[in-house]
Amino acid sequence: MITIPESDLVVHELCLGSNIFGGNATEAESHLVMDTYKSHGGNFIDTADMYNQWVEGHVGGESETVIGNWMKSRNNRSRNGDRNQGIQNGSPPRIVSEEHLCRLRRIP
Amino acid sequence: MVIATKVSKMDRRPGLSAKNIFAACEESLNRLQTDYIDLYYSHADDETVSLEETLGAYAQLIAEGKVRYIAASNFTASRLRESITYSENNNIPAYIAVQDLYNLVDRKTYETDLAPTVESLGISNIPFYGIARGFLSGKYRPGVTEVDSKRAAGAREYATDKGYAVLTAMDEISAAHNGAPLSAIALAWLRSQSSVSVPIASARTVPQLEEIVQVIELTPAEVEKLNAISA
Repeated sequence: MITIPESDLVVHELCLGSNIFGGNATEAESHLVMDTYKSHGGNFIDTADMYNQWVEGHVGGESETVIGNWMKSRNNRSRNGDRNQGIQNGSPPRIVSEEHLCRLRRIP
Repeated sequence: MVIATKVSKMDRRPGLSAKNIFAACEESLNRLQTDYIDLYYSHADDETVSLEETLGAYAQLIAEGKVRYIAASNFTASRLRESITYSENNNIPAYIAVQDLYNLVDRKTYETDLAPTVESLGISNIPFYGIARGFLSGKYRPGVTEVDSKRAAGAREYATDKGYAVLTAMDEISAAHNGAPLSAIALAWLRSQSSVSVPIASARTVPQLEEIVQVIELTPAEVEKLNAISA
């Protein structure tokens, strides 16, 4: 595992690309690939809203949907419900923690 | 799972205006069935929108807990530096990484413009096309005309004398690593580059995944050999 510089994201040495998930790879094939990746300790998946709008009949978002369905069915993504609480209650957004801001500002 | 996704290149959600970023983020969260994105990329630069608007929108998403970190893909070195300088001067979150094309048979573009800037900014590249659309898996060899892959056409552009020389050097390194997959060697070379943190590769099938997920440690001599043959 490595930590991505300037962040506290600790990730596997391979980031799994997903531009074919829901496109050239069916949802079942994609889920199998993600299961296998996870079985090797993989934890870092890269996608984009526009994947895979180049496939005929697609509009984009297909890859994210396949990943979302997989995370939900495997229950391997915490929902962290409290993150949205402030917004749902209509209260002002949380301030980013000072520690977080310092790291982003790269202040020692 | 750590999830990275991107905004600005979807046909119906184009660009980096604040309005578009907010809408695209909500849609991505819904499709991913989650409450936050770990790493949110500007998929392409959008010079029609001010840095204040774009980076301010990301700052708000981070403050709301919907995004943890931001990154940039397909930016020029000067715009990357300008964006990060803007964030630092205004005490708002800055791009912490880039995602740009980089691999053993396509080095020049990244190394010429972006790599020195990425290093001097203290950030890293999470490169795509690490196995050159399949070419560096070794499936494409002289005389092999039919490869069962929809990416074959893309990989074929690397099928030059130099490309094949790189494969030959990788074959020798593979032999010294108990027949390690060439894909894994291509990704190991990327990890040995100082501005790269973690390469991206994709797989359609389990056997392909089993190749790319292997983490090989190259010796300094092996890295140097690959550096020289691919220069």
